[in-house]
Parts: sequence; C-alpha cells; structure tokens
Amino acid sequence: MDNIPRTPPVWRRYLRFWRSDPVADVDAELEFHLDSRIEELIQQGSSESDARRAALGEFGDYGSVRREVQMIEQSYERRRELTERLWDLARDTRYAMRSLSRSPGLAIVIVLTLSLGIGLNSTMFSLVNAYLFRPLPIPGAERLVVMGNTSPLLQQPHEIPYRDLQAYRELRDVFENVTGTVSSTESFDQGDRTERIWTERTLGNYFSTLRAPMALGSVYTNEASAGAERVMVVSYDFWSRRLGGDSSIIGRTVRISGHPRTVIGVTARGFHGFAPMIRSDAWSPIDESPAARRQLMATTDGDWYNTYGILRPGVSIAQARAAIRERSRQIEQQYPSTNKNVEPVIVPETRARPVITVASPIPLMAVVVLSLTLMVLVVACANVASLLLARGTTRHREHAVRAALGASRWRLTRQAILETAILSLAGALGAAGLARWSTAALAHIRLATDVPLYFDFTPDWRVFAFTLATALATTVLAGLAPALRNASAAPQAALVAGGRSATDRTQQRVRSIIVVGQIAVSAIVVIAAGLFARSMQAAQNMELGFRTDQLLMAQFDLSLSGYDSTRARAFERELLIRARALPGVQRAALASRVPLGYNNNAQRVLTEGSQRDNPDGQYIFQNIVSPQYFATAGPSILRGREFTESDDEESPHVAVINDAMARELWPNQDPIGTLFRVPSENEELRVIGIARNAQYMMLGEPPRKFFWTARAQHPSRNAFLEIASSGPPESLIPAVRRIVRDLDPNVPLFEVRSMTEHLRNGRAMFAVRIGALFGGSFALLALVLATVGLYGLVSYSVSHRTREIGIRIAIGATVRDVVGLVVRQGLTLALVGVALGVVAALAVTHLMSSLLYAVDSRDPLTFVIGPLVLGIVSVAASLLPASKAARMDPVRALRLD
Amino acid sequence: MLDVWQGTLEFLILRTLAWGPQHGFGIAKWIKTVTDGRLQIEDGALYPALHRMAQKKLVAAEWAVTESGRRARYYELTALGREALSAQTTAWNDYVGAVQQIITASSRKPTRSRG
Repeated sequence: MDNIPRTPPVWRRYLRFWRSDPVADVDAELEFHLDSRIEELIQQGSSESDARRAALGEFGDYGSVRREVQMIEQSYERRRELTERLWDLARDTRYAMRSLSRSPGLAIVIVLTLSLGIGLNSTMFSLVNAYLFRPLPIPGAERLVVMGNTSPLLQQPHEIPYRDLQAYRELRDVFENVTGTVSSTESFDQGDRTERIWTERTLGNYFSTLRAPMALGSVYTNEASAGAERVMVVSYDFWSRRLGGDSSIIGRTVRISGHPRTVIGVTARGFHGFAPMIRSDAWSPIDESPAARRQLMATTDGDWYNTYGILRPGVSIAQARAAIRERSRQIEQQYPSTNKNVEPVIVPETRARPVITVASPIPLMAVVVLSLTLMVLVVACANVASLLLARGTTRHREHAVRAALGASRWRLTRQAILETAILSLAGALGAAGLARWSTAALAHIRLATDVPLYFDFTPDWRVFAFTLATALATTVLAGLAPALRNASAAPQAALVAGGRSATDRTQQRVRSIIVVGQIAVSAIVVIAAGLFARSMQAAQNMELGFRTDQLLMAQFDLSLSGYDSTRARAFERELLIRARALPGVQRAALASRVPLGYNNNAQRVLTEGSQRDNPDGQYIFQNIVSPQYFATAGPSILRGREFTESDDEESPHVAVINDAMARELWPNQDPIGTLFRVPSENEELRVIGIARNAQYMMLGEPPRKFFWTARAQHPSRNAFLEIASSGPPESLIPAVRRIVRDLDPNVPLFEVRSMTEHLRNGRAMFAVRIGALFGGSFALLALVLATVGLYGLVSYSVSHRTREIGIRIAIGATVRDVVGLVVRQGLTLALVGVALGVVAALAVTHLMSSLLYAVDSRDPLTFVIGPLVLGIVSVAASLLPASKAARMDPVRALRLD
Repeated sequence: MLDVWQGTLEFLILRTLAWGPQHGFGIAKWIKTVTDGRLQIEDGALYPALHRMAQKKLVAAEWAVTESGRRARYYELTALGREALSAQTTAWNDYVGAVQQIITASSRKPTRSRG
C-alpha cells in the first residue's frame, strides 16, 4: 500500500484557490488509474501499446464512465455550493439580526418609516390594480375587449347600436363571440312593497360569451332571446338578500316591473356583471324574436349596448381593431345616413374601466399618483439611508476591526445590505398590513348617490408582488450608499483616528446631498399637491350655470310602481302643487335628469338650417322638465320664455335650447320661433327660449349643446323633484317624504339630498376631491419626512461642532450668532433643494395638465406658496437644534472629548 | 466468475477502505488480489460507485501525492462509512449463513414429517 501523506501539500490549496473543477478532477483521477495500470503491465514485460490496450480493456467503456462520474460530480458541486451559500446567508442573517437588536429604537423608527412609505405605495397600487390590471373573474378575461363607437355627432366613445353590434358579431375569425348589455332599473314587486333593482338587459349570448361563473341553476342562451322568454338570472347578493338564499328558487316566478319572470340561475358570489362598478342584481335576455330583431336592425335610435367581445386566441387587439374598422366602413356604405364617419373603438377590458367613455385619462392618473407616492418613498428612503449612514459612523470601528481581521469588502457590504433588507422586509410586512386596512377604508368611501356603486380594492398577489418589489428597491436605494461607504473605509485610518474626522466630513457631505435631494423631491410632491388643491378650489368655484345652493333634489320612478303615463302626469301635477305649498319652499319643478348626475340622454336632432353641413343631424343631450324648471333650478333664460302650464299635451310641442345650440345650429338667425325635428320621437319642436350654457355632464367641459322639452308633452319615467328653499334644503326632507307618502305610499324616493351635497360628494367633484385629498396627504407625508431628515442632519452636525460652537460662545458669540450659524446651514440646504425641486416641477407638471381643472400646470401661486411652505418648515426644523446649540454651556462643551 | 452488482461493489469498496485510505486504482487492485480475480469487475465501474459513495458521505475523498510523486484521489472511510460497513458485514454474514444452511440442508434428504 502506498504511503499517503495525511495532509495534501500547501501548493494544492492554491491550485484550487478559486473553486474545484469537477471536470478536470475526474479526468485526472481516471488518467491516473490507466497510467498506473499501464506502468504495472510494462513492468511485467508488456510493450507500451499492448499495455495500453489491456488497461483500457480492463477498464471498460472509458467514455461512459467519465460522463457518469462527471455528472455525479457536477450535481454534487451545485448542491454543495447552494448549501454553502444558504449557510452563509443564515449566518449573516443571524449576525444582522443581532446587530439590529443592539439599537432597537433605530430599527423601529426605520421600519415604521418604511412601512409608511411602502404602505402608501401599496395602497395606491391597489387602486391602480383594481382599475387597470385585475382581470374580471371569468375564464379568458385577458382576451376580453370592450368596443365603442365615436362619431362626428358624439365624439367621446359611446355604446354601440344593435345593428353595428350584430355586424361586429359576424367577424367570426376575430372574435369568439360578441355580446351586448344595457343597464337599467326595474322594480322588484313583493306584494305590498316595491323595490328598485339594477338589472342588465342583455343579448341572448351574454352568458355563453362571458362564461360567468354560476352558483346555482343555469344561464339563458340565444334560444331564450330568440323566443322572447321571460327568464332571469340573479346575482348571488340579490339571491341571498332578497330571495332568502333559497335554492328552490330555481324555476320559480317573481314579478319584475309588473311582469312575471322565471328565475333560472344564480351567479357565483363575487360576480356582479360587467356594468362597470355597479352591482347588478339580475340579468334577462332582450327580445330578439324575428319581429323584434327586424325592428332593432332598422334603426340606431333605440338602446345602445355596452359591447364586449372575446378575442380568438392569438388574435391581437391591433388585428381586431383593423377588422372592425374595415367592417365599420362596410356598415357605413350600407347605412350612410346613420353611420357616416362612425369610428369604432376597441380596447382591452382593463382599459375601459369604469366605462369606456371616461377611461382614457385613468392610466395617466395612475402614473401621476404612483409617481407621487414613489417620490414620497424616495424621501422616506433618504431618511433611512441617512439614519443608516449615521449608524455606520458609530459602527465604523467595528467594521474597521472586522476588515482588518480579514472580512472581505464584499462580505461587509453584503452584511450591510442584508441588514437593510431585513428592515425593508419588516417594512413591507407593515406596509401590507397598512395596505389591507387602508384599501378597506377607501372602499368605504361613499359617493353621494343611491346607485349601488362598489369599489373592491382588496390587495391581491399583484399588490403583494408590487410591495415586495418596492421593498427590494428600497433596500437598494436606502442601503447601498451606506453599505458601500462603510465597506470602502480604510481600516487603518479608521482605527487610528478612532472613527472620526476625515470620514465624518465625507459623511456629512453625503448626508447633505441626501437631504438636498429629499427636499427637492418633496418640493415636487408639494407643488403637484398644490396644483390638485388649486384645481379643486377652481372646480368648487366654477360657474356651473345652474342653481346649486338651497336646492333639494329627490328622485322617483313611477314606472316602478306600475303607473301609466296618464296617472303619472296626474301624480306629478299633484306633487308639484303640494310641494309648492310647503312652508319654506320658494319654487318647485320636475326634471328627468339633474346636471352632473348618472344618466344622460342624447337625441338626434335635425334642423333646416344645418341640413346642408349635417344632413343627418347630430346628437344633442336633452332634459325633460316641468314648468318653472328654469326659475327653480335651471340656467337662466337669456331670451324668450320657459315652459308654462299652457305647454300641455294638446298644445304644439316646444323646446328651450341653450346658447351653444343656438349659435351652432342657427348661426345667422334668431332660432326663437323656428322648428327642429327629433326623428326618434317623430316630432317637430318649436324653439320658445334660449338658456345660458351650463355644465351638464363633466366639470370643466367645453360649452355643450343642450335642449329641454316639456314633461307634459314628453312622458318620462325618470323624475327628479327639485325644490328651491328659503332655508337649508335638508330641513325640507321630512316634509317632502310625507307628501309623497300621502300621495302614494308605494312610490319610493331615491337620491334625496341637497344639490350642494350632490355636487360635492357625487361624481362631479369626486375625482378632483380625491386628487386633492391624496395629493395633500402625500405632500404632508413628504414634508414631514423631509423635515425630519433636515432636522436630523442639522442636529447631527451641531453635535459634531460642539467644540467649535463652544469656542465661538466663549469668545463672545451671541445667541443670535449661533442660531444664525446653524439655521443658515439648514436653510442653505433647503434652498438648494427647493430650487432644484421647483426646476424639476416646472419640467414635469405639464404632464398632469390634462388632469387639472381650470388651473395652469405652471400656476404661479402654487409655485410660490409650495416652496415658501418648504422654506418655512426648513427654518423651523433648523431652529430647534440651533436654540439647543445657543444655550450650550461653553465650559462643558470644551471639556468634552 | 461472478458478476458483481451495485450493492456488492459498495460493500467491497467499504471493506477495502477499512484497511486505510486508498485511491481507485489501489482499490481495484486490492479487490482483484483478494478475490484472485474471481469477481468480474470492470475497473471503470468502481468510479461512479466511489463518487456516489462520496456524495452519500460514506467515504471522504481528497487529492494527495503518491509515493511515485503523482497526484491521485484518495478515498477514506468516514464514520458513516464505518457504520455502513459493519451493518453490511452483519447482513452479508446473515445472508451467507442462510445460503450456507440451505446448501448444507439440501445435501441431506429432506425428512418427511409425521402426522
């Protein structure tokens, strides 16, 4: 047996200094075997070639042995490396935890700061997720698209007439299926009680297209609509709330709007249909029997459908767009009178929320909001980085000792990064908790409306992934600079100097840069928030063109209670008489819609004068109102008169138009006394008055053409009672409820509130108010964090200049001098930061200009006040350490050290 | 000549290494010497077995220099390997004993049981 040295020679270690090479090792081992055998055989007298042949023969298949051993070694090597790394990580983690637990206060402050910063981002991302990313709970949701039309008559994307929908439906190689739905309200009759429910009337293929998940029973199909079957699918909520959660409901009949309907299915919990953000209670098929279909195909004046399609797998949205464009051109040729210049719009369903009409600014809004929250996070990270840097200084000796003892730079850097990562992950955990709480709170924000809107911002995996990614980014952002600096410190210098002087000055400089950056970023956030606040202010003060104060509104729908138009007219007349007789009521009137409300109706209008340019007329929004409407609630009449009691069923049909309509349709002519036509009603209307322009659908909209017709001549199921009061409008609510109950206890009232409330807390101001609220809280947070950062730096530098300040005081510096000295330092940093921030803000705020109402994105007032606030806060942040420094006892200060 | 299968090979290696650390060539040579070449083992078959055993921590491997000054990979029993060897020795002995009994028993006439 060979004599084996117990330890391999030292040079061997260097041979494999980097890492062992399994492939080379295997070759060496096997070659050694063969060589040894050959040598042996030669010694026994064989020739070299014979010996080689014999040795190979004894060995077996050399190639396959080599491969097998290599494979074993490689897999072993991989496993070994991984285990080694995990062990290292575990050890470093333990070490990091131990070192963090030595300064628990600091760790807690950092974790809280990060929780706040990351939590804010997660919360906002939850909202963005709900609007832009989270798919609907149906299979193939990622292929779901929404379609709309734009036309010269109505430029914003809008729903699609049945005829066009059917044409798109024929594009079989693009869409698996296309379906449509119209939202409406109907009454659910339960003996003595009538309840308004929100339903969708859909094409027969609605459920087969969307494959909505079901809890019970079955869905209807094309046969149901073709056979005009009176069937209904109800939502899980409606079923458990109103139908007692009774599974024997399937096949039973309920009365909806006075007609029997058979319940055939219950959708799965959480499925509320696609009427965006409205909880639909029930779905039923429209009548698509041959006769009804002929009628639907004959006109575009009927219902327009929210149109959904499922793309065939592999078909891109661009291909689909091209296909429906082409189809649209064909429809145009077939129906030039209605479809001239109609342009189809097609977007993924996630880009059509909440409705295709208003979805286009949402991505920009998301980008702006997330940018602002990320900026807040950057400011928070800066504080954390600053704290870690300060801590790094106190631990400088420790690091120097470890470095001197042979810990590699990479090792020390990794250690520092790991510490930050632990803090970030703890922060992420806190953030996730914060996001869960805050999204639940946000979902409770209620718009002032009885429409069953719902918001579901519950964080899902996307939010958690985002939170985690943010936490990792935070680690890099907040941890890298301190880590690198700590690792790069020269051990000797640090040990000799006792961890002071030279490194301190660099550190001060790094922290100063961080603080300047912090203030600059805060300045951007503050200015953006200021713009939102100014925008809200402008919206609140905006001249809407109609009465807003001391006005009460209350909605009712007589068709829900089974009224025909004759009875409805009598009811409305009597209601107005009684309302006007109430004490505290100045005037009362009825309208089918309130401005900035939730439903609108446009009519195709033809005038003789405009026929040359626009032979097909144009769509103009309309309201159907009672006498005294304009005096009570409406815009003032510029010329002519408003409706009176004499404009009744028997008299010629009349209309009031607004200024914009008058100017555009009768450019060189006095419209009063002229006629225009509304083809869908097959009627001619004579203009009797011109009203001022007002804001009807969206705040800040450009003057929109609008006209009003008389309720007596146009029965309308939609009715808002509007009452001008002499006192607070809310005080009239009980009296109004009483007179309606006296007239018919079966008529429910909805949306009973003051117009001020409707505007403030309704959808009109919602976006600006949320923008101002969010912006304001971001700005506040950024401000607080930046102030803390500045305060921290100034007090730190004061504590390190104790000696210097002591000497100054000793040789006669006054309190003023010392305070001035310290505040000047803080203010200098703040001013540089603010200046940078203002410049950056000037460069970027124009990106958000489309989100602002009536405020320029470089609004001078905002650009003055924002920086001013930052400046004042910065002075305040430096004053505290300054006064402490000024009150210092010079004798003690000089004795220090 | 007998074919040798995996488990046996492992046992043979453990047994060989019980004498002390050895490289692959030495192990092969030892097995041949001890068995007078009656076991048909291709030399190459040793190596996958050795490397697998190293992974299972039955043996430890280390590069060292031989008497003749060449680098060779030496294998050595670990504590785990020693345990495995004694367990397998017992198992082999039991097995061999059982087989032996069968062989000796079959050389006699089986006695017919009464009743």
